[in-house]
Amino acid sequence: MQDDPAPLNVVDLRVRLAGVNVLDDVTFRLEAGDVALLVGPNGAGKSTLLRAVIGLLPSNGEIEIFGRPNRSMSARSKFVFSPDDPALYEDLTLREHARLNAILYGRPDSDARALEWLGAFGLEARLDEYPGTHSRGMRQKLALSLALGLELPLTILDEPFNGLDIASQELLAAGLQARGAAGGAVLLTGHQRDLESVLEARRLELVDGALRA
Amino acid sequence: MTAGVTFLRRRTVGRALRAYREWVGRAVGWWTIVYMIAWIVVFVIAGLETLTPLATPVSGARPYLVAAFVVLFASVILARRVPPVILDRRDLFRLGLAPVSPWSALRWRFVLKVVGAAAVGVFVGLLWTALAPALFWQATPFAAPVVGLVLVARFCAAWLVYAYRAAGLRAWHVALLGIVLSIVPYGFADALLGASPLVLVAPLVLVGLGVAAARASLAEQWPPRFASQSLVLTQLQAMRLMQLMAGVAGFIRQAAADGGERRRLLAALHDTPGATRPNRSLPLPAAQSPVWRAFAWRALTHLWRAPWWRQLTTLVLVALAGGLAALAGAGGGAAAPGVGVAPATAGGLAGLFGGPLAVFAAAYLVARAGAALLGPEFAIGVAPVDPYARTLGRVFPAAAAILFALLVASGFLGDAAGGLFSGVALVLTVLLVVEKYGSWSGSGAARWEAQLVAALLAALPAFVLSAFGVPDWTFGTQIGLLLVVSLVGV
Repeated sequence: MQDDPAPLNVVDLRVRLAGVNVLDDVTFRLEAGDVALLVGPNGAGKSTLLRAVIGLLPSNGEIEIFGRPNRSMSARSKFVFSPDDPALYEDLTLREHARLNAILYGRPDSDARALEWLGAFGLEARLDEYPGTHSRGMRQKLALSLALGLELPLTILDEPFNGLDIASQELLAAGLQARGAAGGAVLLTGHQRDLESVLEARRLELVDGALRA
Repeated sequence: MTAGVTFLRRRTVGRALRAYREWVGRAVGWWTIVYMIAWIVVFVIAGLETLTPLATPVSGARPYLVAAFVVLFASVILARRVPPVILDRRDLFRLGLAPVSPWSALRWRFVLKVVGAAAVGVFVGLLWTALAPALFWQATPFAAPVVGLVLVARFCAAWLVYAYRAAGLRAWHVALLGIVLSIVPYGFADALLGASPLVLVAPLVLVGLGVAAARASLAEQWPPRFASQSLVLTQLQAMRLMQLMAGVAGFIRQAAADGGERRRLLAALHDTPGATRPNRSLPLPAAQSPVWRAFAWRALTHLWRAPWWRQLTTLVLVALAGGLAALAGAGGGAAAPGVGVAPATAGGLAGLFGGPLAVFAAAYLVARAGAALLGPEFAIGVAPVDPYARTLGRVFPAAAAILFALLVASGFLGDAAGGLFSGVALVLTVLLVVEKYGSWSGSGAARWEAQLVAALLAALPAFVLSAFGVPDWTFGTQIGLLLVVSLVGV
């Protein structure tokens, strides 16, 4: 038993949906500074695993975030999640998203950081626009900027590289690496062939609902 | 290539019809439908038989009928800026981009619209034919086909005006001809006032011309904005369908949350400002602000960016809610005339909480007004948001507005402080319950279910204590209820 609880500790996680075992006895642990890439073929259960980890799916087994149950308020204040299909408020502008996010998470500095990320992604001139008019990649950039700007101890991203241009992929990879170097833990999914060449990450392979060693 | 379109339509439409037939058979039962139709026919025949001709026939109807037909076609020229028939997203990308003539791709949906318009027209015409002998002492056997054809012609005219306007041209010939044929002898109006078969000539000519012109307009290429407007209209239709299904299932209708998105889509549809960025914004709260202030800002922003008529409706609702609560506080009877009101005691207190139905009516109106001011629903999900902060933030603007209205109304009524305090307790209880219940149940505050629950719960002390003959305890109980409700963390 370690003194400092791990950012993420998953033990014997099982998820059964519509009578089908989607995840079976999944066990893994993320330490501070870990950048973990969850890979696997389509339908392997990557997104399901992430959704179970953050408490959006009913599951059996033990999921702890910094030693607290994943659904607890204290656990929720320690991680940020960005789904593969960006969840955005279509009636708020990009700038308003950044401010609202900063207030909701109680991290005032993250407002400026999110705007910095948006600028780095090339969206500085679009800050006062609705995201509904933006392309898939631009929406993804907004969602990632909000998540990365928070700089929470645990960052969980589902297919973050989808829809991004090459320059933005490299920028994101560097940002994730920097998060790890700063002591944050990152768990992300992906299946691009060249992803592992731009992102130095611990590899977790999920096949048919089970983690392969 | 056109064979491919035919193949697709036969497969998809055939399967949809089979699925629909099976679903209706299981959900309702075809024999039940036949039984209901039989009774409807019986009722219609019985109703028609009760008609007795007027003592003197209605005269001078022709100018009015002519005017109605003229307006029908003139409105097409004035108003048509969106396509009257569209392709959905799949068809747009599969058929719209395929090397087939636009007419082949759109024909099925065009025919559906034509049949729909004709059916509506025939129904209206049959109704007219049934009523005309009693009203005008005149048989009008051709009213149904003529009205059906006129509506088909109007649809074709609408398409032509849209298609050619989109291309920067003016193609009003069918609509103008429709106006002319509404006025001339043996025109459309005469089909509703006479029995001559010659009245069929004008609508047949117009429909023939309209369909041929519509077909010609789609021979080579689509109207310039047809594809983009089809996509937007498909999104709007999908949004309405999702709201309907969610409403039927009892979930949040997303009506409030999607208000901004809907406005954006409408702006995109008409290519007007507001499609990419908001027309007006409130100052952002500081990043160091407490969480509740962010929710209050969101609720106010939602109202601030709403169309002026919705803002006006909300303002009227708030004034009515505050006024009704104050009226109930002052006398009770004024809040709901004719309902049972308990004997008034000191300070108007019993007026408000002594008349339970008056309290309920005021509470329901407060819930309606409050729901319009709570802003979009917020599913907490994985964000570390305290539900108390959410409730406080969402309720704050609504409470401020309604309590201000209550205060003003109480001032006008010269109400005693007791009535005012009772009103404040009622308003706060209703707003807290409607927000918390709407969030907890997933129904959303905008739904009647949450509003009804809030009104019933807030009026419960008045109902129960009046029934037990101790209405004087109502104010204290109401305060207790307010405290309990405010402590519920959902």
